[in-house]
Amino acid sequence: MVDERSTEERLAALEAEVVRLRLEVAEKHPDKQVSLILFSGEWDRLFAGLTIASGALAMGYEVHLFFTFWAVSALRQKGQSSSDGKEFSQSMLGSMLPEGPAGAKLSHLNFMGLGKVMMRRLMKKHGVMDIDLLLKEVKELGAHLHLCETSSGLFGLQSSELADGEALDKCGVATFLSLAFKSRMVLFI
Amino acid sequence: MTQPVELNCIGMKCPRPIIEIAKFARRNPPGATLEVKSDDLAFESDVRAWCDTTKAQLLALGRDGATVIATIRLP
Repeated sequence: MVDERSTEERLAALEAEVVRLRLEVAEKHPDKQVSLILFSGEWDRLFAGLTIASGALAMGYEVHLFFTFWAVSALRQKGQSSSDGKEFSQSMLGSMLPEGPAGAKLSHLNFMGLGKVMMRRLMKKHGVMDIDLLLKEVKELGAHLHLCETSSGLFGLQSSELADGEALDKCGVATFLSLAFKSRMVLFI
Repeated sequence: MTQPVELNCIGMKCPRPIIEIAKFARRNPPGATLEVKSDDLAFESDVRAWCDTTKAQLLALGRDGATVIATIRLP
């Protein structure tokens, strides 16, 4: 088959195709993005997730943290709990779940909180960052925090009860997945 | 070349030294140099990885007893 187009026309078509393909590649593989699903509300798992997030941020990656289920407690503000407008079971959950990451339990050897006290003491002695400071650094380094709307609704959490409640992106699984699909690494913790 | 800025990370454990370097990098222009001191056992490996990923230049990596001294030029 003979191409009737002139060289200029073919070149222009080729250039347009290259531009289109570049955009397609950029769309599929955005520059340096990591997504973490924080599901567990346990202290050590939150600590690991936030450590990885801080490292990725420090290495110039854009980081998206999706807080879902038990991990939403990590976003609660200390002393800001309220039972206003909540169902009885939501108020019960609110009184039993930790407020912020520091109040979470260890996944192993917690021993009614004694294990955690020992762990925190040990970490302080060894110069390991405290989890509150780690979360602060992660925020300051520019992590994008997403809150699972279903989980927060289930627990009856109001914006006023959450740290940076207004700044949080309250979203669903599709929003998070659209970010995750474009990430180079996705972790579920 | 101007004298590198010193960043003392003695006593800090992973991920803190890397966070401190990243914070320095955000406050300073490309090409700025810094000298980081750390006694974290992960630091020698981590600072190489940080420079490799961020395309920073690791100008020198030395040791003074238990302290690792890394000289970095920001990308």
